[in-house]
Amino acid sequence: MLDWIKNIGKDYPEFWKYYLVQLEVPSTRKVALHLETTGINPTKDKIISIGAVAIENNQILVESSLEIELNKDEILESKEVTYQEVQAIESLINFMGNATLIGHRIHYDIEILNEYLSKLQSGRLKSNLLDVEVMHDRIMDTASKKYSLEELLSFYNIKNPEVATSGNSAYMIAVLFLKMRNKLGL
Amino acid sequence: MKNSIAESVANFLKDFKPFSFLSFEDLKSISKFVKVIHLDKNQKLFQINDELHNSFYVVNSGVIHLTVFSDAEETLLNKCYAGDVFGLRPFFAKNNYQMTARANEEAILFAIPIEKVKPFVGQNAEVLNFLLESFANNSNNPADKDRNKLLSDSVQLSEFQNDFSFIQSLTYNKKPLLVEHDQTIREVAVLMTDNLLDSVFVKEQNKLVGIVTDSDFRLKVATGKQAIQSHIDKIMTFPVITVTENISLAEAQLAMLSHKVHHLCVTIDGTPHTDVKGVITQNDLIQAQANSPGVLIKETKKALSASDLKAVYHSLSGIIQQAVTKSIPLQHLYNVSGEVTLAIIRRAIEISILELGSPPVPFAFLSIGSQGRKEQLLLTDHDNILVYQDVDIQQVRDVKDYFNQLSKKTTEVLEKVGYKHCEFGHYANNQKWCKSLTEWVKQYENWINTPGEFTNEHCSIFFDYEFVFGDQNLETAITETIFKTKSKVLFLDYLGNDALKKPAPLSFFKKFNEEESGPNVGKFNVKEKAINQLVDIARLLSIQHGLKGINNTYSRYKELAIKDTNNAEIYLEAADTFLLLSRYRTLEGLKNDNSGEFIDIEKLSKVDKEKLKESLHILKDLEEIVKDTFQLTQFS
Repeated sequence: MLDWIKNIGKDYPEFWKYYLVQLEVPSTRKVALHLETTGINPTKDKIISIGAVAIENNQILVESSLEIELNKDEILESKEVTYQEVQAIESLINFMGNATLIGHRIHYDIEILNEYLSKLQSGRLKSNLLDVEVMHDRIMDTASKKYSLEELLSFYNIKNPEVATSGNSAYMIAVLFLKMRNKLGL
Repeated sequence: MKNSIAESVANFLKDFKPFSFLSFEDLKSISKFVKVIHLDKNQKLFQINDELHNSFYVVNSGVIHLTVFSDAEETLLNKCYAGDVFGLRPFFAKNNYQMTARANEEAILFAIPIEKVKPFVGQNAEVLNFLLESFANNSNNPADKDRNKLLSDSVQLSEFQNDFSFIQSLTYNKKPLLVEHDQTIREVAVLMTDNLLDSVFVKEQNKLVGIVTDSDFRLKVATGKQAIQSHIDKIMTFPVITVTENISLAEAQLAMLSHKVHHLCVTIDGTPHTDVKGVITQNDLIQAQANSPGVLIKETKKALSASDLKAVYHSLSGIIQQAVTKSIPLQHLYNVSGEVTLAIIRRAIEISILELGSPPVPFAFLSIGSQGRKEQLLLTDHDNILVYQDVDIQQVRDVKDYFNQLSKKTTEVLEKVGYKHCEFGHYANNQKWCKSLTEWVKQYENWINTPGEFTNEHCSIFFDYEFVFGDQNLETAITETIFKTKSKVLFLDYLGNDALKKPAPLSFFKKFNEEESGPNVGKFNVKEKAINQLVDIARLLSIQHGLKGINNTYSRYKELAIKDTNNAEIYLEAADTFLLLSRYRTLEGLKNDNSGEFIDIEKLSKVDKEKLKESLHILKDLEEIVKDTFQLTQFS
């Protein structure tokens, strides 16, 4: 809320400055995002792996995707933010740029990312967000009913890939988005 | 960096041609550049005259229809299912797209950039050949495409080869006349006249040197150029065009056209140096082109015994076998085979009558069930009934006796030809199905007014009948009975209930409901679980809509689509599904020489499986229509 007061005069890291600059230009690019975490408590839990894939002109670009797996043991042991985590967050922010983020219950992801970012002396994420669960809620005209990712996938007839990785999950979220997009007239 | 998305894509592609030719590593590096596209139902990917995209497409899920416009009508060229490749035009040509690609149902496509694939195509001859072949494949022949699982982009609309001419081998005169070169013209002319032939081959020291035909006599003898005492080699035409023994109709035609001759000499190896085996005349070609089913019917009419009929039946199944694999439209085949079968049955009755003497009163012989619907391609059972005119009470016994014998004889003949008895005993041999008109009318009224009383009976097939032989008025009388009966509600409800009682083709998990026990364990019974229901529902709805004279499932659905415009789409799809299923069944039946009821799902290709599954969904829609139209609760 009063973030901006805290941030006055603060010297952001390079990647964050670049992020803020990019945000000033609106974009049609979208990024489907999936984080694997140890839990949903942003203060305590950690990110284990990151999967993201870009959608441009309503096409999923496999070429433009990001997939990072972190060393779980190392993260859980260390009290501080490890170097590999810093790198992962930096490359994710760089990858996102000014794109709209799409995810399943994306506010959890954003919370946990914000937590990381504050440890890296950066501000909070300001990207536009889309949540496939909320989108489905709109389509079905149900009042904030809960839909798990699996339910959504089976509802839209999307086959689970054989290997469950964050990358594949991000891809499936992207496919979900494409299928929902026209129904909502986005 | 790890890229599990690309890996998943590669995993999908590796099962399909031409990607199966590539190593998984190569596939992965291609997959990295794949773009994933989603199309809503009826959304177009590209249309005719669009500029070429820089990628080609693989269907990941859903169905894409490739269409062209001809005569302001959209003609479906092909359907692409999961794994099919299309949009290859940019590979080879620079001009714009020649067809429209449209999603028939929501689809996910992989767009593969041409640039990224080209290096692999260059390195891998198999891939190149595959792509070239499929691109160059201009034919409209769906079977070819099925085999390749790849669809041509450069399509020229041509009429289907609806006849069998190109697969047929020729029948020709295998005993041609041979004369020595020093025989006189007169001798030869006498010989030809005696043998009723219009051509003769001339030998010199056992070597074929020339041919003399009627026109040679006209041109060279009748004009006075040669005396009739001259040697025959003065007027012969040479060289003789020779062909091999097993020449096809099309080849023979070509040979005649390109050499501008009317006679071809058949030799053992196709050169003039080997023995002469026969002569093919233009007449042979015409006869062959008059379409072999026609010839078959002719032969049927001449047949004197069951074994003659059996020979006809064998050539019929030969024709069907070739035709099915050559993808001649199944509906056309059904008609042809229906006509020939009809002729066989007719002849069988005639043979029986010849033996028993002429019938005492007019009668009608009707085919019921699949032959009644003209949907018989394979050696399946044959059901028939016999109706004879009412007679005075005194004559009843004699008449009944005669017709019992007649039908018994006929079924015997048919059995010798190869038709099995219907497992329910629905053939006129059974006394129950050999009755007078009044009895039949009563029987039908019974079925209609008090349905359910004959629950063990398969009475619905009695509503698909076709007139075979005898007095057509009797058939008309029965048809009128059916359509005249007013309170059919109960009966229709009963039929509806019956139609829905059929076992479902797909299980809850969208798996095929395979046989769980018996000799065909693990196979899918396509007749029981899919075709029967399609047939039943078609019959039910056409009785409901009062469609007279259409007994064919395919035409019934087509007709229903016109009558009931609300559900037109479903009916049209059902018609196609019926043909598709029948095709699978026929192929299976021909492969195993049985009725083809059991399809071995494991042996189907992945694409065929998908296609089959896809098409079975229509049954659900049909069931809904039935449920909406009739009150089914009365009987369940």
